[in-house]
Amino acid sequence: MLRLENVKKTYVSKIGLNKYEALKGISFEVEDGEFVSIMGPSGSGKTTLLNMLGTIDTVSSGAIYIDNVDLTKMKKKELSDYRREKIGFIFQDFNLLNTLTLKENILLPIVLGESKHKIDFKKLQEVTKKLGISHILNKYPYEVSGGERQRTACARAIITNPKIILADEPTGNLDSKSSQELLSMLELLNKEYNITILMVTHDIFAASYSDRVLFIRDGKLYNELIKEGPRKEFFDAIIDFEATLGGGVE
Amino acid sequence: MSLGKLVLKNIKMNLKNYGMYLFSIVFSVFTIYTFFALGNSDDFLGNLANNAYFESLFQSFAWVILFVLFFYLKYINKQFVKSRKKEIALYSLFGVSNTKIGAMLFIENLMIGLFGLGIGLVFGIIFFKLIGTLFVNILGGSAFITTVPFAVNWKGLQITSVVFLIYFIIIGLFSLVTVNRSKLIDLFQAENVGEKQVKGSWFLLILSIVLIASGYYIACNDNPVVLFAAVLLILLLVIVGTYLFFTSGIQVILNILRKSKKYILKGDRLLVISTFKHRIRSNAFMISAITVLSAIAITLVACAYGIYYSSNENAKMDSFYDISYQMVEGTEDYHQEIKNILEKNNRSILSDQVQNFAQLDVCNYQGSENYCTQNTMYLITDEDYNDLVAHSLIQRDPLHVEENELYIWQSGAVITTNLPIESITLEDKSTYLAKPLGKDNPLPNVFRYNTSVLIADEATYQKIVANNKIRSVQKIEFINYEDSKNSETILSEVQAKNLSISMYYEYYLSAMIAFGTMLFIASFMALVFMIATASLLYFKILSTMEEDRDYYRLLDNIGTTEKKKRKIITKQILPVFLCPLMLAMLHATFAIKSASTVFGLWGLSLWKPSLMMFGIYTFIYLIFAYITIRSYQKRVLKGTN
Ligand SMILES: Nc1ncnc2c1ncn2[C@@H]1O[C@H](COP(=O)(O)OP(=O)(O)OP(=O)(O)O)[C@@H](O)[C@H]1O
Ligand SMILES: [Mg+2]
Repeated sequence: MLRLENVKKTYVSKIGLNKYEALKGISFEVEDGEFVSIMGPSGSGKTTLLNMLGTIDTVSSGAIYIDNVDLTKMKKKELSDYRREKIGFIFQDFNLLNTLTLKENILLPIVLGESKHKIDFKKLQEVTKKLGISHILNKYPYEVSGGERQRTACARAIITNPKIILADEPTGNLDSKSSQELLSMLELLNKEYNITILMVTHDIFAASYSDRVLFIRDGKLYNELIKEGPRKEFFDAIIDFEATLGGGVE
Repeated sequence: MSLGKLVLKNIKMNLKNYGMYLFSIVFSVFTIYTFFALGNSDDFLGNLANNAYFESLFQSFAWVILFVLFFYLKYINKQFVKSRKKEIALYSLFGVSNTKIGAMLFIENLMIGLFGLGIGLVFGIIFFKLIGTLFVNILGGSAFITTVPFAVNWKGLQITSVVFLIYFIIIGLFSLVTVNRSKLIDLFQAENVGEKQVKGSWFLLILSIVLIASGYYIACNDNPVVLFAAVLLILLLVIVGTYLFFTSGIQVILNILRKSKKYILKGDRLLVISTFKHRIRSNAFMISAITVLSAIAITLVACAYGIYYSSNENAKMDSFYDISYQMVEGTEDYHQEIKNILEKNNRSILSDQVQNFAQLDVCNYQGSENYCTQNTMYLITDEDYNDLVAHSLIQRDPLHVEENELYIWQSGAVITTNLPIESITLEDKSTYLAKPLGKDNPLPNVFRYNTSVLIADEATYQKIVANNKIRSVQKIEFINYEDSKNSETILSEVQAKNLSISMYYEYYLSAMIAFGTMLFIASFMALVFMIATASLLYFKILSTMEEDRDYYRLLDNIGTTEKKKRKIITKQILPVFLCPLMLAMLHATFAIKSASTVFGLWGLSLWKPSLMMFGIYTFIYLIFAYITIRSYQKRVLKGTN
C-alpha cells in the first residue's frame, strides 16, 4: 500500500550557499497492516523520511505512492485531506496543546476537521480505556505525567481511524514501564485494527515489537531485518546486527 | 466544537497568554485617546489664548505616536503569532487549510483588538480628568479652568476607534498572509536552532568602546558652538559603538567568562551565560536601538523638566520688574492706567521708579581691530544700575565698575547672532575695553532686541556725557506690585486697554505654557516609549519559550530542582533588561551634560530631573523584567513535569 521510489531530499540553506543531501535515493515498500521500525544513526535522515511520508515536508525528487496515488503530485488541498483522513502522527515531543484538556486534545483532529468523522464518544471511551487514560481526560497536559501525555498523543493519532500511524521516537521520553505500555498499545492497534505503523526509534527493545526493521545510514537504505520468530529472538537478532555495524548505531 | 467555537475557546484558554498583548493594545489606545482628547478639548482649554496651538501640537504628536505604535503593534502581533507556532502547526497537520487558519487568526486578532480598544477607551475616559488636571497644573494652573470636566470626548473617541480598527484589520491581514504562505515544515521547526556560536571579536569590542568613549569625550566639551556642530558626530559614534558592542563586543566578554574554568564551573554560570549570550545575540539590533532611543528619551525629558522649572527664573530675568515700559510719546497716561488697574485688583505697588538712560553714538569692534560698527547705545552709572537691580525681581550682588572701565550688556539677539563686542570708541575718539556683563546679570527686555547698555562709574559717566553728544535720554518706568504671579485679570485688562508694556506675568505665563506643554508631551512620550520597549523585550523573550522548553526538560533530566530552575531563569532574563537599561543611563548622563552645554542650561541643576527619570526608567524595566520572568517560569516549568 505504501511504496517509495528513489526518494531524495536536499536541504538548501536560506541563502542557497549550502546544500545538504539528507536522503540520497530511498526505495522500499510497506504492506498493508505491517509494523515497520526505522533505525539508524543520528543524522541519517530518519525524521526527514518520516516528514516526507507525513507530507510535512516535500521531496526533492522521487515518488511516494499510497494506494497507488503519488503523494508528491498532490495539490495542497488534497494533501490536507490525505493528512486528515489517512495519517496519524505521534511526535517525539507529544505536541499537545497546553490550553486544551486531554480530551480536547484527543478530539482536536476531529473538531478541526471538515472531517467526515463524527465525534465518536464510544470510540473515545474505548481507545482511552485501552490506553489507560480514561480517568484523566479532563486534566490538562501539564497536569499529567510524560507517559500519560505520550499515550494521549497516541490516542489523538488513532481517533480518526487512520490507515497509517507515523511515530517519531515515541518512546524517547518514556521510562521503561511507560514505554512498554505504549509499545503494547501500538502492537494492539496494529494487530486488532490493522493499522500500518512506521516507527522511528533508537531503542532496540522498541524495534523488536515490529515486524521488520529498516536500517538507514547516510540517507540510504542500508539493510533490513525481518521478524521470523518470537520477539526475544528478534531482539537478539537486532543486537547482533548492530554489533556487525561496528557501533555505528547508538 | 465548530471553528467559531474553537476560536472562542482558544481565546478563553489563552487569556493568560493574551495578557501582555492585550495590555499593549489597551495601553496604545489609552495613549492615543488621551492625546486626541487633549487636542480637542475646547471645553477646558477654551479660555486659553491660543488653543489652536495645543490642538495642532497634540494632534501632530498623536499622529507621530500612532505611526510608531503601528510598527509596535505589528511587531508584537508577529511575536505573538510566532509564539503560537505549535498550535498553528497542529491545526495544519490535522488538515485545516492555511487559509482557514489564517481566517481564524484574523478573527481572533480582531476580537482581541476590539476588546482592547474598548478597555483602552474606558481607561482613557476614566483617567482623562486626572491627566487633564495634571496637564493644566503643569501649565500654571490658575490661569485656566482648574476643574477639568469628566466628559467623553467624542471626537477623540471616533478618531481613535477608526484608526485602531484599521490597524487591527491591516495587522490581521498581515498575519493571515504570513500563515497562508508558511510551509508546514517551517512551523514545526524551531527557529535558530543550532545557530552557530559567534566568537565575537576583540577588535570590534575595543572599537565599540573607543567609539562610545570618544563620543562621550566630545560630549564633555564646554564650548556650545563646537558641541552643537558635533551633535551628529556624537550620535553616530555612540550609536555605532552601541550596536557593535551588543552584536560583537559583549560576546567577547561572555566568551572570556565562558573559557575561564574557575568562573564558569561554579554553580549555574555556564547555563546562565550561554543562554544570555544567545539572547543578546539574536536581539542585538533591537537591544541597541532600545538603548539609544531610551537615552534620547531620558535626555529630552530631563532637559524639558529643567527648562520648565526655570520658567519662573527666566521670566524674572527677562522682565526684570513686574511692569516696565519706555516712556515715549503716547505713554503719558500709562502711569495712571496701570495704577488704576492695580488698584481695581487690590494690588498695592511695592516699588515704582523711573530711570534715565543716555543714548549716544558709539563705534564698536567685534573680533577685528580694524573694522568698527556704527551703533547707538545706552549709558547709565553703576550706582543707578545697582539701584535698579536692588529693587528688581532678581537678586544679584552689586556691580562695581572701576574708573575708565565700561561694562556692556547686550540683549539676547545680539549675543547669538554676532561676535561679542570687545571694545568701544566714542565720538570723542576715546576707547574703552568693554567687559561683558555676565549672562546672569540682566537688564530688562523692555529694550527689546539689538540694544546694548553700557555701565560706567560716576566719574567716567560724567566725562563721557560732557565730551559726547547725547542723542536723547530714554526714560523707563519700573513698577513692582504684590502677588504678581497671579495676574491673569490684570494681564487681560492691560491687553484690553492695549497698553504696550512689558509684564513679568506675561513672560511667566508664556514660558509655563510653552515649556509645560513640552514637558508634558516629552514625559508622556518617554513613558510610552519605555513601556513599549520593555514590552517588546517581554515578547521577544517569551516568543522562544516553546523552543526553550526542551532546554529545561533537559535540566529536569539531570535532576535540577524547581527552585534552582527558577533561579536560573531569573539570572538568564534579568540581564537582558539590565544591559540596555544601564548603558542607556550612561549614555543619557553624557547626553544631558552636552545638551545642557548646547542649550545653555548650565545654571539649571539637571541632576534632579535626570535622577528622577533614571528612577522611573529603572522602575518600569524592573517591573517588566519581573513580569517576564514570572510568566516565563510559569509557562516553561508548567510544560515540563
Ligand atoms: N531543515 C534542515 N536544513 C538543513 N539540514 C537539515 C534540516 N533538517 C535536517 N537536516 C540535516 O539532514 C540530516 C538528517 O536529519 P534528520 O533529522 O532526518 O536525522 P535523524 O535521522 O532524524 O536524526 P536523529 O536520530 O538525531 O533524530 C542531518 O544531517 C541534518 O543535519
Ligand atoms: Mg530525528
